Amino acid sequence: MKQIWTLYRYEWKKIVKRRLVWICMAISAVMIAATVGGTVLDILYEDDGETETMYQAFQKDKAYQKALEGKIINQELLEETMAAYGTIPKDVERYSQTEEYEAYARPYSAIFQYIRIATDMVTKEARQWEADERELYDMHLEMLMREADSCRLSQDEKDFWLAQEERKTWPVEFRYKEGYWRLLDCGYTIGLLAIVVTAICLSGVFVEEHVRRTDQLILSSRHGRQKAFWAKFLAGLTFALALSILFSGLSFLIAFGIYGAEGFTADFQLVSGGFFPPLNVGGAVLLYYACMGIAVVFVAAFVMALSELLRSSIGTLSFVVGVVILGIFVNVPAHLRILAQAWSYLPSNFIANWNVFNARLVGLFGKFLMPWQAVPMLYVILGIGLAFLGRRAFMRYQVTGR
Amino acid sequence: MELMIDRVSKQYGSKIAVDRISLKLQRGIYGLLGANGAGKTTLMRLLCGILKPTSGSISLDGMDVATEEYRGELGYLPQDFGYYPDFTGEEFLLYMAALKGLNKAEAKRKSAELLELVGLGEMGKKKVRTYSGGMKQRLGIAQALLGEPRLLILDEPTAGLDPKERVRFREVIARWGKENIVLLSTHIVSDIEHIADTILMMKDGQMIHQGPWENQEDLEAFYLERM
Repeated sequence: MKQIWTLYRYEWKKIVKRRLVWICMAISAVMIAATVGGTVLDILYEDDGETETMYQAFQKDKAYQKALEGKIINQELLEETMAAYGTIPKDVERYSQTEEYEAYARPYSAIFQYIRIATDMVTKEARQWEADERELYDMHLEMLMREADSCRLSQDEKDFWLAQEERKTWPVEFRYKEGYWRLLDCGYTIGLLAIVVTAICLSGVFVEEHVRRTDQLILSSRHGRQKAFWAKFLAGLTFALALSILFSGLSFLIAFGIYGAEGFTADFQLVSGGFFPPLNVGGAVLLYYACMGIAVVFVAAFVMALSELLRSSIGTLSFVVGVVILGIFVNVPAHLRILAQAWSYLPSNFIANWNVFNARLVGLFGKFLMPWQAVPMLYVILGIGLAFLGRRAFMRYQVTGR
Repeated sequence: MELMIDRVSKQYGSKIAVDRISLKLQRGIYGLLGANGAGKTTLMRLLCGILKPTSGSISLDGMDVATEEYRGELGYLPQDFGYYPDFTGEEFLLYMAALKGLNKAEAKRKSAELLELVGLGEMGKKKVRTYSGGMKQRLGIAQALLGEPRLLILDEPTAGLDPKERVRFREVIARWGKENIVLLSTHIVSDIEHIADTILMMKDGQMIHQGPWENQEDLEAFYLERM
């Protein structure tokens, strides 16, 4: 057993000593910084020529949101919000550039946004809405049922989600939670980046031994078949995990550094109007990034196994990037229930928060599992299968030609 | 100690690379000669378990070639020796020692000893990418000797070595061959002439000569005559 850890350390060394890995890391760091924090560098242009940087806009909105901190979004606050939005002339197209918006409505823009999230109303519709706490709740349930029908949920699934809804606090307490919101918003890009970098860094772990011809030395040595394989595979998996933690850590650092870390215990309903169990924003973000980490580790297992089966790092990389691109551009219609559900479980799709917190459930032994419970389990099972498939290819490798 | 090669064949489609070779090797140095494509490298790969024979069996003291125990007794220098350019010579040997099952202290001691033996003592901390061709070959010889192998298989070990290094290599192998089985192939007939106790000659996958080489005619002429 001791031997395997020594080999594991050398396998790590082989991975991190490659220049390609460091180039990928440097590029990724810049991309993460641009994704998570880049928007604050934007400039807002207004019709009268006055400009405001996004950072200034954010600071102003943060102050307004802080003023609303701890307030319950009840009838009173809804009325205040709609009254403030009512001051905006009805006929203007870009209401956010009016003086009335700036003077009266903007301090309530976070509440207005919440109303839209909870009900899925378009802006025009929301501006005409008359504040009614009860109606807000009913509209929220109607929205959920519309989504449930479009996803072809069974009655049992609908009942499951309605039971979850009943467990949620209503009305919701308003909290500032911008840092977490930003992390949810950027997660998909960061996840895709982690998947592609993992594929680039690990597609050569096995193949390079064949290219360098070191495979002969490894395979003819005492521990070159069993232990060397597991050391390699484990090093690849932990590298992917470390990469995922590093990317997530950097994202958290930038998001909290710019937007602040306040609001961990804020209600997740402030951010998402969809189906999810009672969660706070911080917990949901951690859950989301943990799912992303598991998806990246699964991709690592897939990449290593496939590269050993194909004996080609370029072929493996092309396949993974091809699937990622396909995932971005191909959208399986929600009414094709099983296909859409399976498609959303593809790692490059599952890293999107709308798939982690998706309404489609998995029935298992009479119980329902939510995607963030079922998919990681599926990845673990498939990952074990891939490991043994890769080991079989590695063990059966014949040194010929050259 | 006995290496049994029993009717071993390797066939690729219609081409027979190794054709029903049977040998019984005991301690000593065996020199394998043959023209390019004669099947020397294929035979050596079969003996190292990195290529599966189409038929026949290979065993060392009853241990089958496919077992971990067999590989534990094996030291191998392939013809196309691969290395990790970003590892230092010492790191490379320590990694190989781990693959061969040596514990940390033993690996460190043996690696330092072997680096000295092959004349790379001062280059141990340098990256392998900075080594010359001869240095890399010597590093390859050092890794093959790690773990005190009872069966040492060297495919073209003297390629890239200068005359002085070849002499040093012969001395090392001569010492090893006293207690163990050493099988080496080379194009340089004089290398074999000097150190091999037994000459094996291959042609078209078959063993065409097998016997000791003592006080016979000029080996080069003998070899050329049969090729």
